[in-house]
Amino acid sequence: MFYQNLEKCRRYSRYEKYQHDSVSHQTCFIIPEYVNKEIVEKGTEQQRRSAWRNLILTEQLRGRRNVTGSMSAVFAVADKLHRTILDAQNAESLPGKLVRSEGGKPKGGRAVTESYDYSGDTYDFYKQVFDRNSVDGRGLRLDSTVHYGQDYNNAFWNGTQMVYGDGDGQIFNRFTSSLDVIGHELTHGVTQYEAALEYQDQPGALNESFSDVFGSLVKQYALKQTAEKADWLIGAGLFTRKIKGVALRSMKAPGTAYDDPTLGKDPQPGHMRDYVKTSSDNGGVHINSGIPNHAFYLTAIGIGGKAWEKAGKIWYITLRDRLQENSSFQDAANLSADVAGSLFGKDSKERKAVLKAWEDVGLPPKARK
Amino acid sequence: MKIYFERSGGFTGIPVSMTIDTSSLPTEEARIIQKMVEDSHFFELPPTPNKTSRAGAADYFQYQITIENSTRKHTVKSDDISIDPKLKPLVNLLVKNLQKWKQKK
Repeated sequence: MFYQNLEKCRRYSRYEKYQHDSVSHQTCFIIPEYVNKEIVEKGTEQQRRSAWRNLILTEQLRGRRNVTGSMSAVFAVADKLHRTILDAQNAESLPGKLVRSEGGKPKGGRAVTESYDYSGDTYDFYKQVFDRNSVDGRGLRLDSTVHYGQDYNNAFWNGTQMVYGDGDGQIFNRFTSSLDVIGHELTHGVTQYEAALEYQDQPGALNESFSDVFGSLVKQYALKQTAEKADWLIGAGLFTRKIKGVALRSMKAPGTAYDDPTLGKDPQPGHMRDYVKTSSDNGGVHINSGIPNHAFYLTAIGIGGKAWEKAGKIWYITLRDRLQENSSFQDAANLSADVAGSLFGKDSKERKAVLKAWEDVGLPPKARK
Repeated sequence: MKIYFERSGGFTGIPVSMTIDTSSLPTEEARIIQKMVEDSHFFELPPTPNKTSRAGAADYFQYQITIENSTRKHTVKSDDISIDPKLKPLVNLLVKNLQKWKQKK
């Protein structure tokens, strides 16, 4: 069956168990599967990408990769990195003008070079550490638009690509200057193709947290740092020298990253008792992410060594296999403890570190019945 | 014309806001704002954005603008993904002049 609205379809199939018969699975399509397949085979480049994305996104039955698996040869999905960098030329129209493709000459200025290099680093991290082939697991091309807007103090993921501003030079430097920012943005894509955490309230703060976690791990991996040596800062280097602050966020000490007369003080909590109820920022997704961020930091330190190896693996498997669109902080605590048990054993020091970390932020994990 | 403007979200999560009364601004600036409000058909814009266009998106700025003139008052919530192109010039102008106009009540 198919629905006009993919969101309605997902909700419908989630809350009302749909029937699996022995012949076929019911799944949600906004256009029938066979139409998408036709487009993938015969459409224009733009149409093919769009149809391909539809096919992947509608595979919300985890593990059901048989549709797109058989198509990957047709669509020439390669097991490798493919980047394009585009220039919005200080306008706000996307994607902008193509300035660099995969393997192209390193020219075009710092923003072009940084977005190219750092998306490569992020791709390499996911491939080497988790054997994940790009954001969608199937070699999705990584598109970045730079020089978006004028004095634009932001970077964002629009559901299809990354977008970076130059900053105003007063408060912020250009947003391509930090590897963890690029890792953060690309991880929003990974989340979109996996748990699809809704960008609101606790699921949204979890979404933000996973981006900070893997953004930080991308940086730690590139620098070959252990958990103890890492700075656990997000966006260090984004502020100009005029601002009193070391970074935008601290996973190690939420609430301490900045305190500036213009910007105010870092509002992040590090414990559930300080959870911020607000209607702005989609329910404070960039604020309350401090709590699960801190839980990850504590887990990584509790286990020791390189944070991506065990703590990162637990978090990745949790995001990929266990979390759902409306998962809460408590769900994340319960599920990551469960994953740690599956990976390392119920009485392992890894699982104990996860349990203690969530307890320390006010979310003691509850075992499944 | 009174304008309340708030921008939240974004990668940084740092909000900005201001309230201005155009009658306290220089004539030329007030005139420019007036024109942008008219050109955007502000009072006819939907109060909230279409949710589906933002599927998977993150770290975009969110905007809330309330404008009150002698006859009407209207609030529009929008964001970088779903913003009506007609509204962009006004939003960008307000962001650009935040520090400057913030002082004037």
